[in-house]
Amino acid sequence: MAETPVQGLLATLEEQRVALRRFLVARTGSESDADDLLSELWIKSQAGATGPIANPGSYLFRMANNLVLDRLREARRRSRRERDWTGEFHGDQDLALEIADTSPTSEQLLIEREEARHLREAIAQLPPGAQRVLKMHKIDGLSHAAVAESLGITKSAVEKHMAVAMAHLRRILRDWGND
Amino acid sequence: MTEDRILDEASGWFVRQQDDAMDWEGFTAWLEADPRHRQAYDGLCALDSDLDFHGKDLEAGFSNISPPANDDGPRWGRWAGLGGAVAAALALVVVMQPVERGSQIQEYRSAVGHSREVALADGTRVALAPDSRLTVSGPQLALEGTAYFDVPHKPGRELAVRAGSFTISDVGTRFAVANEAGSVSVDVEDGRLSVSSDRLDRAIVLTAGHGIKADEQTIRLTQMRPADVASWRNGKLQFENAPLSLVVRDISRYSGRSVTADPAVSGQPFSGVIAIDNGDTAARNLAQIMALDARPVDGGVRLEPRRR
Repeated sequence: MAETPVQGLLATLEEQRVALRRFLVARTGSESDADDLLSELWIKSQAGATGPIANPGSYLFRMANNLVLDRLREARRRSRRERDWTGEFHGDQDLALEIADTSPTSEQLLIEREEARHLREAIAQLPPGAQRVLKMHKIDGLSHAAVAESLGITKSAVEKHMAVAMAHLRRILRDWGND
Repeated sequence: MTEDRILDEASGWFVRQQDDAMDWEGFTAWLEADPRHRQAYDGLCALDSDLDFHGKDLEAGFSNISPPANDDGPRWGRWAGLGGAVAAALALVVVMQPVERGSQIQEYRSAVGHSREVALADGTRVALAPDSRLTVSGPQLALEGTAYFDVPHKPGRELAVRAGSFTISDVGTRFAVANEAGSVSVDVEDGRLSVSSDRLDRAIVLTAGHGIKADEQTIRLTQMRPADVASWRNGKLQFENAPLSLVVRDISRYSGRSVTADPAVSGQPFSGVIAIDNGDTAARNLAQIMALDARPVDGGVRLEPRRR
């Protein structure tokens, strides 16, 4: 496949605009958020990519997906007190105590410590393969490909272990959250 | 089971988001199919964000590390192209055990694409449809998903099957139960049983060829030929006015092959019988009946509006 020059990214965005918007609507559940993010995507695309892109279509979708992730992470940071900012398993409770101050209160620290403890306990229950791959990817910061190479397993085996780890952790934490 | 299945699918999609081979169109269709899909995916994003936030603080949790097997066998290979969605479900079957359960409780799970036979100590035999879970605690059974039961008649038997808010008891018979996505159905092939629920004034007795089907709003009595009960056991799926999205979901679940429907057609209703076969044939037949195109996509088949 021919590599696309950076300026080709905007052209690809225009070509794929309908599909990208549709993805963003599906991903955020909101037309106006999707339009916001699409503008952001356009601005980022204009700024150009850091290197040649083999598949600009999939690159743009990944960028769009990452923009949503960044927003969610930002929201998560802002309201760390809320156990689950999506609200899906606890009902849509609004956060009554918005934390305006950025320095953590002692109560916040306590909650964070508790959260870390829960995560550690949940991680300890993972099957060994999933646990190792999770550590290498999330804690040591290796890419899937690097984890695969280092362990001598395929990339799809890494993905499988990661999927097991993520679903397993989420399930354990969700069950605890419901108690 | 549905929530579990959604979460498994969501993590399959989640771990592939940085992959060049990610099927973004398929992911879009998956998100559009059910608002709970997005919520499950958001939940994983929250978890991911928490893992990053705590980072090195979590190291003490990794106590169980040994070299992982490269169990990327042919089975997984077949799944690898699916956007990982179903693959994750398959993998989880092996590792998920209930947390903090009493030791007398037994749990049986079946994988996507595989039904499973379970023989209980009292002589009861259960066929678990793919992607289902049966919990056994003495004579108390609980089902999530779909199963067919063959219970030898024995006086004084206390066996009861719980499915959602319904309890099936007084059984000495063969019958099928489905507890899927907020709806519960019971179909009797042979003998009789009684069904009770908070939603019923009193227990209903069902005999061969009769059944009950309840969704969140309504409960109705149904009839079918006894031979048609649990037809999935013979490789057939029956639908009555079901949206295409549900039909392809069932085909994927029973065949293990990814079949999806373009959102433009996913709401079209289908009634009829489909041979599960290997999934591809089922998808092609379905496409023909409904005047759609069956397009091979990465790791599966997608049904789309027919091109001129």
